[in-house]
Amino acid sequence: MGYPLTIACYIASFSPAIALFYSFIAHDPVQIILFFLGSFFWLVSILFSSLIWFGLSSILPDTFLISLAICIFVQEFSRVAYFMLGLNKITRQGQISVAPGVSDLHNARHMLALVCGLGMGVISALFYTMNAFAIFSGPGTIGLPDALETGVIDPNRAGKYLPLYYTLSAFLLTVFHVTWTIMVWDTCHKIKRSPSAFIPAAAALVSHLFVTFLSSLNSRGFHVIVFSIQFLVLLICIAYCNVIMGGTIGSFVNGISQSIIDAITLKQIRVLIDERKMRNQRHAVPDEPMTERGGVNETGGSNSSAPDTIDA
Amino acid sequence: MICVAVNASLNTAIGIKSPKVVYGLFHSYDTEKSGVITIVMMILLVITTSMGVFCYKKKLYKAITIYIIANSVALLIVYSFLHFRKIVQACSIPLSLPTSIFLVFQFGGLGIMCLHWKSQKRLHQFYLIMLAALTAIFLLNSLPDWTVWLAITSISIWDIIAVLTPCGPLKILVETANRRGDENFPAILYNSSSYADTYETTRSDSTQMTEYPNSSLSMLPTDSLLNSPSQTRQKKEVREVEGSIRLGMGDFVFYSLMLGNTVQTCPFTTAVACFVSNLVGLTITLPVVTLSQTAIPALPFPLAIAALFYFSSHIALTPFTNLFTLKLLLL
Repeated sequence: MGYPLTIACYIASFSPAIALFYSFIAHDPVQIILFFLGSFFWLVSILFSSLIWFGLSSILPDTFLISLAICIFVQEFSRVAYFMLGLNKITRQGQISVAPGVSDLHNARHMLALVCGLGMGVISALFYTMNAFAIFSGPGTIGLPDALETGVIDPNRAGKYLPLYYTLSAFLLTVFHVTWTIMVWDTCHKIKRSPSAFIPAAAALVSHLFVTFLSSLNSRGFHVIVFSIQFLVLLICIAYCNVIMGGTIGSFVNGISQSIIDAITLKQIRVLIDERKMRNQRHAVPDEPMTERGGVNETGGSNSSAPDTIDA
Repeated sequence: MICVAVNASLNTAIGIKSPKVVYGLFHSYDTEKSGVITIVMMILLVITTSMGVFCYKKKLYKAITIYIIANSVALLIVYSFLHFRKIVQACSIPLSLPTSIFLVFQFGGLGIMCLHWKSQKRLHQFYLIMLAALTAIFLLNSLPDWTVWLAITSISIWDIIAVLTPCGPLKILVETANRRGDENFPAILYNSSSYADTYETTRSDSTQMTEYPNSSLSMLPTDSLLNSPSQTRQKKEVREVEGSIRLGMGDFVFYSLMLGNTVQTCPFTTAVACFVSNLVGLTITLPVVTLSQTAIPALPFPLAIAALFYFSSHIALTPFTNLFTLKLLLL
């Protein structure tokens, strides 16, 4: 279907990841390394679960659901393992200076959780979509051979919306991994002090299992329902993370509505234009010849410069 | 500080996308010749490295400089011209000979000026990575199937021997350089300084301009397609001097070689997995160097992790993920 489709799919599915990357990670090299470490931990967890699947499938006849559940458990376990690795580095300041600018932040541990979660999310979305998007760039139409044979368009199959479903799934995967990581790490932080702190991790595990088993309905054709429910769960997870980080549901709703209004009224562009205008006004003074500026303060200088600019 | 090196090494493997394009031009020799070719390559490598260290000890600096300049000229102009023509042919773009000569001359000329004279830091790093990438592409196009992995394992073993044992040539090189106080490694190391201040960067650039990484290739006797007489020698040293990380160019060549082979023979997800594992292996190796303040072979550990992912992906990873992604099942 051509290269533009592939490029569009990549852009659409990874734009939240890229946005998060550029706002939080790209300026700090240490966080880039932590990002790649997050990817590596997810890869290792998938490696283990695939080896377990490989071993199980030669023993048991039907290993699909079991291996899926094992895979999810191993992923959560690798998240906790990353936490064990990272927490020691931060609390012991004497070692390698890791995360120099981050430990001073108020939400430092959530920032690191975001970095790790983004790493895991990006690599899982990549693994999910890369083969499919590579096939999209070649010739062919989805669903055409089967329809040619039977003469009927099967409404249950994905058909022409398949790239859209892959893109949506990748987007969901990325953001879900971020939220799950924040939840699990919050539990890991607080588990020693109060044993009732296992709730976020339990929520992450339950929602992971729920979302994955829900998506198994995808192959039966209930795409729209599955995706709507998954988006709802995503919103709930994001609201929960916001509560963990210190906001309330009210502030969350407020924030979302404010950002939607800002997007519609193009507030960011207006702010950029205003800043540039103010910067040009402040720098307008050095453009005058030196004799005007020597010993004259700014207002006097700008007042005397007005006739010059009108004449010129 | 370590991170700038990692950032720069992100550019490394990206230059290896082009083997995917020229995959169709890849000859496939018999597998039994792979072992012979690997042994020949290793012998050439050992001889070249020993000769280089010998010249260094006897203060025959001119020989080394001539050798390195000849190598970079051959690689950047001759081989890049041939490779460029191949790529353009594979993309079905009709490009005339004068145009391609002109373009390659621009690229190669700028590269040689960058490497052996003054240049800006990023451009310099870019051309070092280009050298490594071209070397790797040259090796990929002229080696049979399993030679890459055989070569990688044997080079890792040689790396450990050469750097850590007392009679290894690279250890002799490092100690001689330390004794003489001679930081001037002409075009063998990749230097990534970590200055944030721009004025200081320009000042320190002029002092570090003399250290350019390079690598010399060993020509395979079985190669008849490409007549580039380039000799490669690897210096696999990782040292840390005043806040900057130095990485031997041979490391880059072999990382790129491994990644190029993965792109050629596996689905692209395996290549991403190998890339990430390579990067993480490097990230683990560098602080070890920082803490121990000695030269350590940077080659075996990242390549071991990447090899683990490559071989297990054939068996288990790819079928496993295919199970889920084909059914739109979230993982």
